[in-house]
Amino acid sequence: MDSREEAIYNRSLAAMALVGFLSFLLLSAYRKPLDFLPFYGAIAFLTVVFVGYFFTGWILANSDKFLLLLSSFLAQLGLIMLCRINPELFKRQVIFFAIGVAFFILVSFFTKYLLRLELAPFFYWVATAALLILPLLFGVEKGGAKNWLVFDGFTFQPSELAKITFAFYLAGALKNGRITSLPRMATEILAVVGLLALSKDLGGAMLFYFTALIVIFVATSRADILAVGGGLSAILGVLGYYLFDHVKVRIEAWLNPWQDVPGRGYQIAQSLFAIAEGGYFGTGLGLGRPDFIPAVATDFIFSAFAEEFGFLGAAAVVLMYFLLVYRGIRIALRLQKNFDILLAVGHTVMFGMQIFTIIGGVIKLIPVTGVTLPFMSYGGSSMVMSFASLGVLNGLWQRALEDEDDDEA
Amino acid sequence: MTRLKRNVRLVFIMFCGLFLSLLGYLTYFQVYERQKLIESSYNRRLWEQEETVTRGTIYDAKGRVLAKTVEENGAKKRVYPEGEAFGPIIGYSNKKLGRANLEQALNGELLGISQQDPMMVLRQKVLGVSKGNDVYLTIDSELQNKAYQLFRGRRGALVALDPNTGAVLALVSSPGYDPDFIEQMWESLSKDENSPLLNRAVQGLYPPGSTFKIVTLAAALESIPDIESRTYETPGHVEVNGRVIRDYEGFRPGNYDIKRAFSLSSNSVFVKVGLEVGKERLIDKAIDFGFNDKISFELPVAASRFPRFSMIGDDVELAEASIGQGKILTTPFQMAVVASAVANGGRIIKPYIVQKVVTPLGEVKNFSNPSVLKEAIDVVTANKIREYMVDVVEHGTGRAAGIKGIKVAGKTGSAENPHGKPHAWFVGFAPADNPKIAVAVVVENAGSGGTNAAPIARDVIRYFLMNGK
Amino acid sequence: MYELLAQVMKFLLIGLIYYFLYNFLKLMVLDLYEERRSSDETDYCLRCEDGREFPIRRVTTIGRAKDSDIVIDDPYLSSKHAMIYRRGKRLIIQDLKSTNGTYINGRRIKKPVALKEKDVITMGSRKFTFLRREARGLERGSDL
Repeated sequence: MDSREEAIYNRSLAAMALVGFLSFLLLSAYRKPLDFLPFYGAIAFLTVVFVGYFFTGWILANSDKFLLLLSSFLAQLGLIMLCRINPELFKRQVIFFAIGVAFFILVSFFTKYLLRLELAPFFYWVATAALLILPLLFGVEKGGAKNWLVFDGFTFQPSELAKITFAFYLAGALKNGRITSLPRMATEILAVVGLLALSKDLGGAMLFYFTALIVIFVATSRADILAVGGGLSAILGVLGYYLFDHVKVRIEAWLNPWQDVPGRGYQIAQSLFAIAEGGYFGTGLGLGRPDFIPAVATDFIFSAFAEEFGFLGAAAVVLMYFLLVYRGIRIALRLQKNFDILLAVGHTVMFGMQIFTIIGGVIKLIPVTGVTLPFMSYGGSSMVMSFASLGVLNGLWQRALEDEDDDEA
Repeated sequence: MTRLKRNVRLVFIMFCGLFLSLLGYLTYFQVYERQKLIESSYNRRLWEQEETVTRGTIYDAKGRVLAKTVEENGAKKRVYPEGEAFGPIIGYSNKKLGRANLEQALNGELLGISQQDPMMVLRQKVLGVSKGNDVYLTIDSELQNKAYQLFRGRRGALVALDPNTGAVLALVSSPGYDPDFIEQMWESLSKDENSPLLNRAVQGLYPPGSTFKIVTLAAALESIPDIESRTYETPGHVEVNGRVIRDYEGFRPGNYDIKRAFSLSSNSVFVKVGLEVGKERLIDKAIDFGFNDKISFELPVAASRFPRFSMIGDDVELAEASIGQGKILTTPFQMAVVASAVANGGRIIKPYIVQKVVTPLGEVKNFSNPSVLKEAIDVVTANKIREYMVDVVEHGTGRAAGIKGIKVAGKTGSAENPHGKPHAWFVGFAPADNPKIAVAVVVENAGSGGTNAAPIARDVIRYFLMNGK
Repeated sequence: MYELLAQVMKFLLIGLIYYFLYNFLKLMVLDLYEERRSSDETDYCLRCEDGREFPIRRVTTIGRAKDSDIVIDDPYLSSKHAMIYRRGKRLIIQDLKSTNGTYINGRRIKKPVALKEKDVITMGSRKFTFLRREARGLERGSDL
């Protein structure tokens, strides 16, 4: 690697460690009596980061440090907030993070060497659908959406894994640059979206739908499908508004949260109050009131972050997520095979849309839909699967570089 | 570049747009929405602050407590010793229901968070002060209670101003409610047909009826030079484009000069005068008196409406406007401002209700500096109108407002409206030669202003002049 | 006490976060810079009789001079012999008033000429074939 880049990465790593030590030390003093749990947590976290960072560098010569470092930094900011909100969640999230990094390495490896064999897209579709049906049959409801599986105390959200299989399905089905059978593809995609809607996971349904639409456009260049799909989404939205109460509630809360603050506008109003309180520099770590915000550890963690780190902190987070998306796109552009490109685009779009949906939701740019903010929100499935997604991108990146090396040889 | 990669670039551009919109909206939020939300009464952070800060006390002009926070079994509780007459003006501060009226408008002062000076904040922190500011109003609570009782539960409102300073002496809206019981009574109060939660004095919009003739008279005196020497012959009604406008029952046909027509509140004469003045000058005069404009005041005042130029289509509408009917709507507050302008030689003085704010460290912020907003009419005209208004009380429709030994100036009104009997109006001031108090009274659907509103005004004026400063 | 500490720390933390962000933005700029350099290349090349391939860039100069993009050590060539440049989607060859001239498919050119695939370019004693570079496993199925 370029020594100049190497130096930048090392500096960033140092900055990250410093942010970690400072904020976790501060948080150790937050609760009385002095509690060093945050500090030990920080050491565990940073150890995972360093080990992960150097280990991937060692086993995968050209591993994309950009992806790993940036996502770890975001995870660290999330951990800081979690530690401040609820130390119990923080402990578990550190473990999830470690598992996530392990998955990142595993999936990178797997993608690089093993996925040369492309399974039939139908296989991936079946996998996706099965993952989404499972919780409908055996799942439990959490936060209004029935998309959780429980195996003795261990909960898992299959829709997170389905994001990955769905991206594989899209890439496989479209790798020839055209849709073999439009009715069939439309049915398959709408079935997946429908399953998500059935489990009341509206955010998920929206994500899958738009990701499919965009990947189809990228593969086929067909603006007509994009237009029809966009129109259809508007129709579905209006239908949903009239058919489902929970859709209606969310849209009304978005249009005018102030009409009924104690009722349907409650979540979004509390989120906006928090962001407003922050100002430019924030209230300071530990001095905000995240306890006022509902679902603060998961969906609304961005609001809590914005309160304590201010507009500047929030803007930095948005920019960092943007850089992640940028990197995904760059990887896609460096790839040669259609399947690889579409796979990279699929993952990036899923990822980017999810970030836009949840941040846009909590700042009231768009209606709130319950999706997590990758890397920052509390949740094992989300954390691990987001890292797995990055692993796919990283694996593809290896492939791109390898192909280029082959060419030069 | 292949088409596929071009599309990937398009996707990237789309994401640039999406993330830029996130940043853009965050910035917009920061710049424009933020302050509003911080001060929102739904914001629990404010309540939280109130847990640590003791909300300041509200006093009347003579230092009587109108609202204060007391500790009861370790919990803070807001109490309102003065009862029903003060609900619509003081409002309430309640965890569940939020805040209203002055408790809302003065929230920043009462919690002590409105001072932006960080040194002050620091000083209070160092000294361990956890109390908000005390607010002193210009209201005289005895006068307020007296005036409220005079309504005997009827729907209506009264505004009393000190014409020299703009200080609000009483601001009554009837029926009222006792803010001490707001939580228990909420259901019934919010459903009550008489809407006690509405502050009629500043938010109620009524047709002004004949009280508006003060404005028409002002326009006529200023624009028709020989108006005082003219006489108008009237059969007791007037026809404008086929529409017949009648005088009130008991008005005798005959010859009237403008002064007598004003005293007896002749609609037929004032319609003729209004038509002669013309719509432009009438509109201008209404605007001079503050119509179509929001009056800046501690409590939100509904803007009184006088139809704009394009809205007065024909002479019928102009005729109705000149006697205060038709599309004109006004608040009692606005009419008190009109009376006070006449009393004050034509100048409109900014009304205010907060006299001073005292911080826990003893600093006093004074707000009682009279400021002239504008000149509605010149002194000569004002003096003439005053003389005419005295005549109304001495020999005209407003005799019920007369007080022995005190020269009262006034004008009655009986405003036709679609909800039943006319609204009874009286606006006036006293003593006419050296005005100390200006009042506007409206009693909804009570009938004629001379018999139903004028006595209330009389009692309030008498009470104030006997017991006041 | 904690309050004061947190107040001071917040500026430090924001500063560090932005330092981190700045580093990554710099990486992005480096990326884009590299990207631009590589996008300078076109999909075409000149293949010499001896099998060597010279990639053609947006602007490619040919001649004996050492600073030419394609340096050909041949006494019959001028030091700045010819130039190939991109105009929209086409590649244009222009003779730079060379002594011995530039020939396309045996015909000497006077004015700039657009190149077609498999054109044979003769300069001095050298013959080159204008070719599309091997597309490697790319876009086979698409409807380009």
